[in-house]
Amino acid sequence: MAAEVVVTGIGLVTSLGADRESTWAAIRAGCRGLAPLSLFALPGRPKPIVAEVRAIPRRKGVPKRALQGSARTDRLAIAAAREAVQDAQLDEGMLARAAVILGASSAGMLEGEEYFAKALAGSHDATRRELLGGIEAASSTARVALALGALGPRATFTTACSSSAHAIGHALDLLRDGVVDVAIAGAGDGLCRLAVAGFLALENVSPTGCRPFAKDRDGMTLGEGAAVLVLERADRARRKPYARVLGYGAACEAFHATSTDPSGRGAEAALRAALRDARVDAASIGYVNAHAPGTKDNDAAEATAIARVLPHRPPVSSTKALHGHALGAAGAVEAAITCLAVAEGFLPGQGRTDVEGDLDVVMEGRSARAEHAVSLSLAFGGNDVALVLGAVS
Amino acid sequence: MKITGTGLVAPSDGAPEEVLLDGRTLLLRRAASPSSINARDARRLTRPALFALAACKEALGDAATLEAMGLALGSGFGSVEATRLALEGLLERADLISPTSFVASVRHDAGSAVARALSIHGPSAALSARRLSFEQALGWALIQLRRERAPAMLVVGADEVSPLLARSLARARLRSERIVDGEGAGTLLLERDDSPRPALARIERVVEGTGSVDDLIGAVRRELGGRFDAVFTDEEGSARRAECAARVAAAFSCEKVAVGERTGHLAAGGALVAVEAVRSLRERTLVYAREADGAYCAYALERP
Repeated sequence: MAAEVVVTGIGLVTSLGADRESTWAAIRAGCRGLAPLSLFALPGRPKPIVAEVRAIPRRKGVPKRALQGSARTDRLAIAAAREAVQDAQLDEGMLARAAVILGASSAGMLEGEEYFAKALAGSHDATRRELLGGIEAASSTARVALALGALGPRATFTTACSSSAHAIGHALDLLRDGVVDVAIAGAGDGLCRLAVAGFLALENVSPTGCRPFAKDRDGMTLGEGAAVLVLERADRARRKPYARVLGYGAACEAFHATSTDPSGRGAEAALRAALRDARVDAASIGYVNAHAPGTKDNDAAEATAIARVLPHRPPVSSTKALHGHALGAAGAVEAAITCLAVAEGFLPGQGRTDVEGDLDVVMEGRSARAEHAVSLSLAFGGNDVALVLGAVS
Repeated sequence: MKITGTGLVAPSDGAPEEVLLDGRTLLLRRAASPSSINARDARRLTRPALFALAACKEALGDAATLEAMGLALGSGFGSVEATRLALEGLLERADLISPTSFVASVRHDAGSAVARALSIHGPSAALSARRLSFEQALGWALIQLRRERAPAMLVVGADEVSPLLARSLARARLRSERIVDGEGAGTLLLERDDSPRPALARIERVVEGTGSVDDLIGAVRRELGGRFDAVFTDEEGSARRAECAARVAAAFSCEKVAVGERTGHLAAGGALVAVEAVRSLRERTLVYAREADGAYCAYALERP
């Protein structure tokens, strides 16, 4: 029988807080970490509302060489990873065996943009290593492994907004197969001009802040942040776990480069696959942390899929309303929040809104125990992922 | 698991193309536009997507695409040229970015394009790990099959040459100027053992880790056994890499085939190695790749 896999450490850096505790406290209080973009200028565009991390914390115990020449995304990921391994009370020996499995989307593109600007101008300055590292998706994974002294398998998933959900799912598989006995999984992803201007060009960004599932929703709120989970076999855990990781399902919509299949077919297939993998009954799902970025087509398709697979109408919320859409890190941030929700018996709200359709959307956070919960992540190109998490008895 | 199909878009043979950029001569091996893709699609797709689609079509051959088939893409950079195009406008003014080039710059664009073209609805992911990109995608795909999440998986590695990036890497002394950059794609079609299609080769798992060449050799012995009659690798371009390949071959007393010398360097070059290893399969072939920081992947191909 496959080993039970649990989450024993969580690290978070979001626009709501610089660590797990402050982020979770803000979520419980229903705070929104959204404000006009200040990280960089976008000439020709008004400043959009974004979820920006104001100051990236520097955790103790991170070797200087892991930070030297690092990108903003790398520093976000390292800060969350360090917090997670301390939380899990991993010692050096366990860390040395650990796998590091991260997701990436924008990755170091903020620094990569500087590289391209200099390279296109023919400047020798374009050869600075820190700028070149910025355009590589696997850079954060290598740096997190270096920062933690982790020598196990490494992988970087690059399916945009579902990247880090894939990373957590893959870490679950490696643990169940006995390839490793501890895995560090998640992502950091920083804002960059390419992503913000690109989504503005696609007319997908809300001018006022996203309202997932609302009748009058008008787009997403781009954000940044990092979340890293420590996954271990339950029989090796040194502390009481937050949650069990029960199932991983992925599917491809094969519909459009950016638009979600309105039938909800991809999200439905991922959700059914995760439930099958977890061997849990759909009726036992007591909370869904939806991907729902607040765009017209995504939220409608996702609501359709949830209603079809989970007809018992479990409580649903999209916490992107509070912490924005952290792109490559979104899946991990939301999986971390879902773990905290099942651990603390508190379902996060997303704020008051006039909801479209028949979902039971949690507006004000409330105390309730969810035996099983789902975190859904949908992405560009229709790469959809679902994770099933369970409460620890 | 069975490998039941292979597809390849290889860089051109013969002498590498010489490209002069900012007073430097770069050596490139470009791939010709695949004839299996019509001109309209070829214009719409980024080069990694074009190569990936052609290689996947070849690997599928006359096999029907199964609805639940999955797709794993390994790519070191995605389309660097699409990113350059997107940024050219953006760096001047934020409202000048084209939505098309932004979408094409997304790192898994090639995988999404293949999935749409071939109606693939099973588990799909893209992985990036420098020159281990294809091998990691292969490892993920094998897990999907083993866990019966899909009846078949297309595993494709694809990358394009970017003269701009090649110039910067050489200038930064991050690699030798003698390295020849390549581009192209390679695909393996993997199926579960219950598939009725004949196997070209068998594969079970990808071994991954970090360490020295001795650590790699030890992991291979432990996880894959010690008997091989050939070692395939893309290790080339420096005396150190060639020495490593020779040590691995010597450790298993078998022939070494360094495919990279013919294909040029590309992050997803492991895909081209895999296809060549299957197509010239001995009884039991070891395939491996290593990164400069010691991360490695290895797998065994066996005659069915």
